Amino acid sequence: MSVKNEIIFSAGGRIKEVLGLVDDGLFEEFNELRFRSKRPAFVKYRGKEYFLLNNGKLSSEGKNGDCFIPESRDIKEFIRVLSGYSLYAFSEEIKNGYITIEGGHRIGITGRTVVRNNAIESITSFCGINIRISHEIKGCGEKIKKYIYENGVCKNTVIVSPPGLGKTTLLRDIIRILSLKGKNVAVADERGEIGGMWHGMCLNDVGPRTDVLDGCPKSEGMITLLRSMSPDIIAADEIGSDRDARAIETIMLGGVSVICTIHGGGLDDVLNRTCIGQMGGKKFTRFIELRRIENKTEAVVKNEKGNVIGTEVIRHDH
Amino acid sequence: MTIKLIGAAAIIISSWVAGIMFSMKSAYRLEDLEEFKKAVSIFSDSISLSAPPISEIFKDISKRVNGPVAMIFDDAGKMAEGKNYPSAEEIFKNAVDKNIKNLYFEAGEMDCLYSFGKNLDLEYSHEQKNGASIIISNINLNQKALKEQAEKDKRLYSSAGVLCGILMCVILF
Repeated sequence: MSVKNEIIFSAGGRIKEVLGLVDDGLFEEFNELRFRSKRPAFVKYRGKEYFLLNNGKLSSEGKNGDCFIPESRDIKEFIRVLSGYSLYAFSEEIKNGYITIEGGHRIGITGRTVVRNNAIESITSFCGINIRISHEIKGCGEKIKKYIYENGVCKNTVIVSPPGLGKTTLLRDIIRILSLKGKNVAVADERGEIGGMWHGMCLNDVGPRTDVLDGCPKSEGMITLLRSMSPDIIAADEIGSDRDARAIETIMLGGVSVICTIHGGGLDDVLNRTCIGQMGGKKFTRFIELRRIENKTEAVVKNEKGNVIGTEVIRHDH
Repeated sequence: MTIKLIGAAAIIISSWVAGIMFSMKSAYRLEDLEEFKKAVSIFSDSISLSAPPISEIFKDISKRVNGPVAMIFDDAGKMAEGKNYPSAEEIFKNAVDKNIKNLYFEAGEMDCLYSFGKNLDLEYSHEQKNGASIIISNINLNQKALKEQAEKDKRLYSSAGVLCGILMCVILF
């Protein structure tokens, strides 16, 4: 199914109508779609932001009357249809602020939170959605392989970047490449974005020797996979908590390699601020920083001492 | 004389049978209500146990209940899968309207049906469960009244059928 059909099938109401007017080819290159109640809708296309017009076209200027401006009821109807009219079935996801749909696309949700015991119990009175479109880019990890995989051994690797630069896309391709190399890779896919699981089927190509544990908390998932799936490598997306760090240390001590991603501005930011800097004993030996330069995404590979050992362009925008 | 007796017996029996058939309407109403009550119970259990999407619950219900109620839930399940409606309430209402000619429900039971539809768009499973409990309570009240009504109708219409038959015989002969 094309990206457009995956999104539109999940959509409802006026938002579905407007998205249906967008050119199919154009839709495939969208990165994000943002809909906010009573404000113009935006589309991120090839790294730049455009207004979404009522006729499905994009514009860099937002003239009154031309821009698509959703109402609160449009947002609510979208989420209602997205959930298959079963908001109760997505209470955990809504509590976390997002729902992942077929294809691994993540729909972020904002609204009024219901808080209990200082934790978000639910979100209600929806007022905004952010559709992050998952793009499988096969081959983007090929140039990185030589830095992290030597003599049949995968180095403990973390991919660092701010949001939106393609950490998950790169991680997915690295998993696929290592799986093709003969390694058993186990993935703790908390948000369902890596495998794009749908009704038990892995819709993204993660390789023939990859096992995916979908929708589980990362730390518990990684330990479960270590015990049950005899992996050579365990992968996880967006680690950050102390529990994640402890699980990773346990995995490394068990002789299994770890590849993961983390939000951050760069290696120094990650070492100073996050759980990775506080890990004792076994640590990561490869750091891949992603950065955007003009129309391309670049990966800067560093070793455990912080020295740059390679720079590769992993993605060009057309 | 013999022929007249046979004819009179035939008239009385057929009008008695016609009376019984009129009284069956209440019995069918009761049956459909019982199936609807079963459906609401299954729905309530499903959302508190495994919480699958509504389309799956409806399809499951359509296999586990009988009659026009099963057809309503089957149609509702297909509509929910298609995702072409703005709300679950509208889906259910459309499914009910599509099958209304097969139902023997009257105003009170139809209220229960449409209330169930409104219940479907509540956000939390505990709210839906509470709503389902209220609907089941209303169904129980309706069933009690309907059982008494069904008994009365059976006696009334079968007696009326026999009396009509006798009257027709008197007029004819």
